Amino acid sequence: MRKSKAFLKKEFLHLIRDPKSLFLISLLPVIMLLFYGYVVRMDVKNIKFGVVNYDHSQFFEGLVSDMEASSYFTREGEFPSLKECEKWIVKGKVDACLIIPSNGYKKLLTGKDTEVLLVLDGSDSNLATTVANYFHAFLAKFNSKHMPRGPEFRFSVVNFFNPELKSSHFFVPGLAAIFLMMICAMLTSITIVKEKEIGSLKLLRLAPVSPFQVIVVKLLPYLFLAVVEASLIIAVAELWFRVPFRGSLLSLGVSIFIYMFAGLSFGVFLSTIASSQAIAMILSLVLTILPSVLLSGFIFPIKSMPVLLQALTYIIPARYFLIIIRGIMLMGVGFKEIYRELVFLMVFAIFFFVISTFRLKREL
Amino acid sequence: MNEYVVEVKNLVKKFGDVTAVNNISFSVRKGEIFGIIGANGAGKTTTIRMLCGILPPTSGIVRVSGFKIPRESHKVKSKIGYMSQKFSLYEDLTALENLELFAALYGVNNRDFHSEIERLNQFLEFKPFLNSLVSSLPLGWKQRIALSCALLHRPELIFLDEPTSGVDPVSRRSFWKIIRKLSGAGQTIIVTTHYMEEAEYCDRLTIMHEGRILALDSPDSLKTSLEKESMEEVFVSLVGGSLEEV
Amino acid sequence: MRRILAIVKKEFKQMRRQKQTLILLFVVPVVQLLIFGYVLTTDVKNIDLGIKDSDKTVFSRHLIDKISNSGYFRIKYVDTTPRGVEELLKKRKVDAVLIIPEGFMRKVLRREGSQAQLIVNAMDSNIASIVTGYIMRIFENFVAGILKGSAPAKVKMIYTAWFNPELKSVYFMVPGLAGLIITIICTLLIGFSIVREKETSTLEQLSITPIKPHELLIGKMIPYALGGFLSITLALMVGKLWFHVPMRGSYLLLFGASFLYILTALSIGILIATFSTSLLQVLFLSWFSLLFAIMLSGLLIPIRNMPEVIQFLSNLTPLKFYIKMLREIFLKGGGLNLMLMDIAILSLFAVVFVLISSLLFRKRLTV
Repeated sequence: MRKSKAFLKKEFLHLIRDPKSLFLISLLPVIMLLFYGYVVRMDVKNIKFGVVNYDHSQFFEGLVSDMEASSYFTREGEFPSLKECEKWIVKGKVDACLIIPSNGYKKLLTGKDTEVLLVLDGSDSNLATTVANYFHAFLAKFNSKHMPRGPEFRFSVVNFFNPELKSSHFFVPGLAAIFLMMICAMLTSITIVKEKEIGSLKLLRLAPVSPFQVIVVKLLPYLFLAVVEASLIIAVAELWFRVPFRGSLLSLGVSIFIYMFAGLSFGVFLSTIASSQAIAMILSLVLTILPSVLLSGFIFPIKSMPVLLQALTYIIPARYFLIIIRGIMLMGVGFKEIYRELVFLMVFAIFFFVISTFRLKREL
Repeated sequence: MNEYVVEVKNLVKKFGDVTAVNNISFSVRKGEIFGIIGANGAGKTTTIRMLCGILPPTSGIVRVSGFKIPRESHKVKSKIGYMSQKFSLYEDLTALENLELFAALYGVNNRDFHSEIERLNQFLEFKPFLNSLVSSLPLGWKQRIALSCALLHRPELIFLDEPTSGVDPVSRRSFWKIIRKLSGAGQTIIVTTHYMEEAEYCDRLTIMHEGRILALDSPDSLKTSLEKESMEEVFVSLVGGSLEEV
Repeated sequence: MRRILAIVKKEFKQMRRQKQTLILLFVVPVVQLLIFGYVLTTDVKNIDLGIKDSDKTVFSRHLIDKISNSGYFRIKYVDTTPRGVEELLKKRKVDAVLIIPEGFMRKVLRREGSQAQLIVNAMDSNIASIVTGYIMRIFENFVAGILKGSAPAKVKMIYTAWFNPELKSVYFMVPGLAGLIITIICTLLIGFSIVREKETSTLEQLSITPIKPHELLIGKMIPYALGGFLSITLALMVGKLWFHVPMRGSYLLLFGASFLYILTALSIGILIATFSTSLLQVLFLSWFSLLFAIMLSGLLIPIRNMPEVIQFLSNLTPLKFYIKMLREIFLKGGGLNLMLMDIAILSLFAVVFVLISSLLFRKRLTV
């Protein structure tokens, strides 16, 4: 026990005496969160459109000005023909062309539906889909406002947990999860390899400590640091980005702790299989950060991926933590709803902890 | 033709507040084996790097092969050869590939290259190792290849920075035989080392300590004037003495 | 000249001997493209929709059929109170709940109007609006079908998309991914190569030879530029042959733009290496700049939504312009006159970065 304490002290001293790393570790993720929190937005504003109006009735002029009045659309110009407007699509000056057919209003008066044509810039398919959706929603409102009232078949929508449809509420916790994983993996992946490289690992071989103790000792200071880090990040998310916090602090705290443990264990594992610091770092990049960003459901919904890839996501800790953190912060769930995810993270952490112990035993 | 290949006057090098080389002066004659002796951190490597033209001096006058450093450093490069204590070879290339590279960089044409390889092989005997990867070579052979890379273009001045560090005593002795042969052929050699017995092999040497020159003379003269039997004792008395001063 | 060739020869030999480099150049891009080409889709599928059918009539069942046939949803029948819906959403059993009110069919037939309710888990606001859009459309079509002729006339919309009529995300993502991959490769590899020479002191040895700093840089850049070129060709071929991304523009323009961008990426790698003394630092700095490039280049996230300041920063990201050009060349098939501005910008980036990196490299070499 005393030996472990001595080693623990050594690890803490390592950390404190390296102010550059300390700074990097503590401030950098927060700065990045502040920056990227503004970057990761999926809402679309400012859709530029051009009009080709063959109808010239006041009714459709009204439609266009209503579009402009809404915060989503901006009219860039009127064109005499579709061909002219499409040139602007090619140049990228408009995102869509709205074509209003001749005698459109007259057709409406006779009680028949009239179709307007929306030509979209498909090179950005995300944008195009969104534009189509927005325009459709706009039309629905427009129709109900201007059409003679008939029997109404309304359709009400309740947006639960995020009534203002703010995408930052969704992404900021995600960013937090990613940055936390990143810190953990990078930190620990370096620690054991550094000792390998400078040869002090052999010293440990002489000391009467078990590999288990070595790994615990290596994890602890970073765990402490990581939890401090995590609190900072959550505080920023809360206070700056105003992400709601509907769940309990306790459940979040426990979840973060377990998640950090998982990340650190994995990092230590990488550390035991890498032959150099550079390789350890590459591995931690490729195996933790990339999958965490792309395959965890951070931006891209897992359900929409091909089945094979969905299966792959089951081994990515970030996937589970994202469910947890979003659940706790946005939905206000408690342990009851997230215990399965917590269990997985725990198993993940213990698994890599054990493997690292065995590998270290072999090295020593 | 100036008989001095290297002339150094009041050379100083400062890194921020630290003075690594503190106002040293010396000259090296053509064909000499000139030694710069000192402990680690004495300023030997810094001095060499300035003479090679890769580190600009803070102040002082340096002339190498008639060219002024740092202004004409570039002209100096084709006239000098350099071997560092780390041997600076490409580990993932073969010995031959390393030699070909440096030959090309020094502008040695194909025909000359082959004749030089033959000539060097006469006394360095590295032919059997030419096609092996440098990483697989034992230290003694790496040393010989590194030396060859520095000699391909027949430089008039050769810098050897701790060329025998980590090498066994037998290889060290044969290495010095080679150095003497080069000097005999008219090439000037400046060597740094912290092995005292190697100091005995130099024609003249200077002992550096903490950036200053403590002595500048031939080994025999130094031994006589200080009444010591070996260079090691000379060194200890000089350096120990200066430590006591402090 | 001969000196440059000597360096080029050396770099090629070293590259060949290092299997990892080759794997990075040729295998990794293809694998990444294949995996992420499928991941990076914003097409939304497999939405778990809970339906509470309080009406239980022919009509309601017909509506449910229509929803299920649309292919976007996985339907679950739920029997819950409005209050219980929140529990369902929290437990993640469904992503949304549609409540068809009692008397739906009766009211429709009597032209009395009725209201259905959709409750969406809006944590992911993007998906929420898409789901709402889907359901709304299906619902309206359904109602219109029933009320044929007796509904008030309204304005409807049909749409078509240029360059990508089926709005396949893959056409959008693949060029972007290819650009990203080439950035990673070029920046990392040359950065590693230079710092490794620093660490083994071979860089010092080189600086003592008569070689000039710019000759050294050119010698180093050529092999990696070639490697990068091959890599991007491979990636784009995968895009074309596997994902069927149409290639409508000129190949000349494609290679010209790629060449300019590869120069820029290599220069950034050189810049990073100039300020690093260890491989670890190179990795860290590279990763940092890569994250920046990914986020601000328009690859994943539309730039137009970002605050003004950040949009300005994104204009300093060379990758952004390269991806833009790639997309335009592939999908829009633009000719030179269209892309003049973009080519000019890419050239400017290339020139600026090459100059800065070589000047700083030379300065640092003599320390």
